[in-house]
Amino acid sequence: MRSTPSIFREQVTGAPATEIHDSHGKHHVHAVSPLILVGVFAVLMVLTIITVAVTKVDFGYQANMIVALAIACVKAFLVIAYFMHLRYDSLFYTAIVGICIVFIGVFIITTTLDTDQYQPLLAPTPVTAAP
Amino acid sequence: MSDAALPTSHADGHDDHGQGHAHDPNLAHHFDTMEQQFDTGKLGMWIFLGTELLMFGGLFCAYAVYRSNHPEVFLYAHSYLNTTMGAINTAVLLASSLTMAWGVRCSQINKNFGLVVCLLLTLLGGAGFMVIKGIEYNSKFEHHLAPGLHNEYSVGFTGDGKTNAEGEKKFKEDLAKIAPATIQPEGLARTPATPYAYLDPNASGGDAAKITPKYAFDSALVATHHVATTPTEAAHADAAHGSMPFTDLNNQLSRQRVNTFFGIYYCMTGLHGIHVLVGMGLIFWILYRASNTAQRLWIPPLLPLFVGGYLIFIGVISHVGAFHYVGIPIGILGVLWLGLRLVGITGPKTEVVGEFSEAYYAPVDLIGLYWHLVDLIWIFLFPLLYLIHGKIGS
Repeated sequence: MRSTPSIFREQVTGAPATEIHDSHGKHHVHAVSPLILVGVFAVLMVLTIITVAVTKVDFGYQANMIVALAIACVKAFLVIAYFMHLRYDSLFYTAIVGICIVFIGVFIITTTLDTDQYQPLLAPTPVTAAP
Repeated sequence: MSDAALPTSHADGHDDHGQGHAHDPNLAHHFDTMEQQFDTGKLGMWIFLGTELLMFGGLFCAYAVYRSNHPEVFLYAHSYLNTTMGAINTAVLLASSLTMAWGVRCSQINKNFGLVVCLLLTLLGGAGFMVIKGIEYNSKFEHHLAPGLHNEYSVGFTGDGKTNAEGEKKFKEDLAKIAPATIQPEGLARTPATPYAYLDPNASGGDAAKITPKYAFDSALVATHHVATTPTEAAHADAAHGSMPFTDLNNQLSRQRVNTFFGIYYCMTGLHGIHVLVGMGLIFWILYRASNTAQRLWIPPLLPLFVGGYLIFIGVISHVGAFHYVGIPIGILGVLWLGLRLVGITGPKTEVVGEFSEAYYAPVDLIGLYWHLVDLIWIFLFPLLYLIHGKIGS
């Protein structure tokens, strides 16, 4: 189902242009069905409603953020896979996106771990002395 | 309203190497086949999207560091953001993503009229997003929550949104009082119960004992998050009691931190807004190419649309209602005229034939990818900026 990009397929290199016959090179055009598009949109809207509704429940400060981010990741996956067509494209493009996400993760996680080490050194939140 | 497809090949005038060999007019000469051209374009766009992700990733990292260091600032300051408008913006952008993806599909199956309609709807979604964002920004500027020094939480703020020599002097004095406070005795734990002895509690001057909620959402925050409102309560505010340790907003150090929250907010949403505008420009370009080269049915109705939109914008900025009353009917007229022309009721009777077809739809596909990325970034911005809640320390 996934096609290999022509950049990876063996090209007829070195041959003069006159010998290339199929300049129309019609690759298989995959149009996403409207049912899938509308279905994904509906799921995205439901997830948005859930994201807002779940703020009424308190899981704890850290967990609240994790829950919100988890729902956002599900939405992001749906947009990338179906709207951006990655589900039907060569895995090469998925690898590009995946590598970017990995490095963003490395960036944020290591920086957060580092800054956590400095918590004891932060100026404490000022509190006015009791009268 | 029929769907005509462009011919996928025809003999052209320039040299075909004497072989009778014809090629698609959309095939650039440095590519061998259309497929190669398409895949190259797709690779280029995905690499660019990767760089965009990494750029916003950097901004999200700044957010993560600042939020982990000052959770109370985020919890307090985010109450100034309107969650409803943010949610509507999310829905609008998701819908525009749907219409964009549908437009790509239309171009792939030779439905040119569908493509034009979908692209117009996507433009409408993008415009709606920017309008709501503009309303949000405008209300913030009115409440002195603009970026930088025009923010009432900025130390140099003088009340009228402008800084002057006196404000600068006061800023330097406040900073001299704040600076010694950053020197920590060793082992000082980050607990709010420890009196901040070397910071003069009267340094900020005025009523430092109590928070006076200025706006409605301030009261709501105080009511639901158990913010300590007196110094005694503040002294007992800690994680064990589930109270918010952040109390005295008149304290200069705390106020500066709120200013930084707004700096992050404006940087991220502003940059995202610029991306929306760029995307809209690209979609407009594609829309132009997808329409009949001889007659662009939708161009004449754009005039009342722009005039009406501009009048409404002036009305919002100047708060003069007359501009709204004039601008809104003109805008509605433009929209109606546009719709009638598109469905063929008015306007010259002609098919909507454009450049894109099953053989060549790459620009639509690639610009669709860019638009989806814009939507993707907003999907993460919304919960991180607008939906912050919980008790600190729990």
